[in-house]
Amino acid sequence: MGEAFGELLRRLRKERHLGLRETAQKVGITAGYLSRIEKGVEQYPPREEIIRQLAELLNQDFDLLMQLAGRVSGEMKNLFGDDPKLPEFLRTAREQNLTGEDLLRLLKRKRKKEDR
Amino acid sequence: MLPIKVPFRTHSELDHAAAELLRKYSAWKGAPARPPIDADDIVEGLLGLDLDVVDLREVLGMPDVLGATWLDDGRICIDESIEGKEGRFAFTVAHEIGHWQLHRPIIEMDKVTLPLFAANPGDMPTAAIVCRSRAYKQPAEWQADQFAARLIMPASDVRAAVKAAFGDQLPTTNGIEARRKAGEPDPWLRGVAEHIIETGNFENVSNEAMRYRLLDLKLVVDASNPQRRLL
Repeated sequence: MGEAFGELLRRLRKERHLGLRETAQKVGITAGYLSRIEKGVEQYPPREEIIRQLAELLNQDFDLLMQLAGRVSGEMKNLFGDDPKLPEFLRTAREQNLTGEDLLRLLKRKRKKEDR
Repeated sequence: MLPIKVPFRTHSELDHAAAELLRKYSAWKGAPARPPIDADDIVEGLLGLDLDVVDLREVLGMPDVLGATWLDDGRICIDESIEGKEGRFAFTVAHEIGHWQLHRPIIEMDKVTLPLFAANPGDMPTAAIVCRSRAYKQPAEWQADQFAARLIMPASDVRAAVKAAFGDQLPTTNGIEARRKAGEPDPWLRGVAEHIIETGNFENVSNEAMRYRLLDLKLVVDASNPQRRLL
C-alpha cells in the first residue's frame, strides 16, 4: 500500500526542513491540527484551499494530495456538473480496467491522429 | 507517578551539555546558531525525532501536563493548550530536548522503568517521561529546565545583549531579591527582561524565563543586597 496522506506530508515537510509549526502557520492551520493529520488520527481532512497551499509549499502534485486526502476539488465537481455523461464514461473505463494513465494515453494518441 | 532518579549535575556540566548540542546544531545547519534558537528544528532536523502537538491533558488525563517524551518512539509531544504561547512552547520543547539529551542515556543504560502512556487514544502505551507544571521540581525536571534555559538563552548571547542594551554598567536597582522572596511582581526587572529580549532577538523566550536567566547569570545587580560584593 502506498504512503498515506499524513505520512507523505510529514516526509515531504521534513525533507524540505520545514517545521511543524512553521508549516502550519504558512498554510493557516494550527500545529495541533497538522500534527493529527500527519499521524492519520484527524477525522476531517483539510479544505481544498489548504491542500492547494500545502501542495505549493511542499512542491507536490495537488491532485495527488487531494486524492490521498479523500477530497474532490471544486474543479472536479464542476466538471461532473457540466457533463452528466462524464461519470458514466469514467465508470465504463473503470469496468474496462482502464486507469487514468491509460485514458490519457488514448487521448494523446487521438490527438496525434488528428494532427496528422 | 514515578520520579526518575538521575545523578547530580553541576551548572558547569549543564552549560557544557547545552553548548555541545548548540555546537552540533550549528554544524548541522552550516551556520552559527543565534537567537532565536529554533528548538523545533533541533528536535525534527538535528535529532530526527517527531514533534507533535497533542491534547495531552485529555489523552493522559492530567490537567497540568505540558509536554512528554516517548523515548522508544523518538517522539516529543507538546500540549496543544500552549500552542499560541511562543515563549512557553519553545521552552517546553527545549525542556523535552533536555530529557532526551541528559536522561535518555541513563534510562537506557540503567534500564530505569518509566510509566507507560499512550500518546494518542488507541495507541499502544509505551514508556514516557511526562512533564507537568508543578511548583516543586524533581531533580530530573530541574535539570531539564536548566538545560532548556541554556539552550534557548545561551549565556554569551544574553551577555552580549545586556552589553548592547546597557553598556558596561550592569542594570542595577534596589530590592530585587526582597521582591522575589516575597513573590511580588517586579516591574523594573520585567522591563529589563523585555529590553534584553528585544535587543538580543530572543523572540521565542518569555519574559519570565528571561528574568530567571538574568538573575542566574547575575546580569542584574541588587544594590540593596549586602552579599552582592561577594558575587
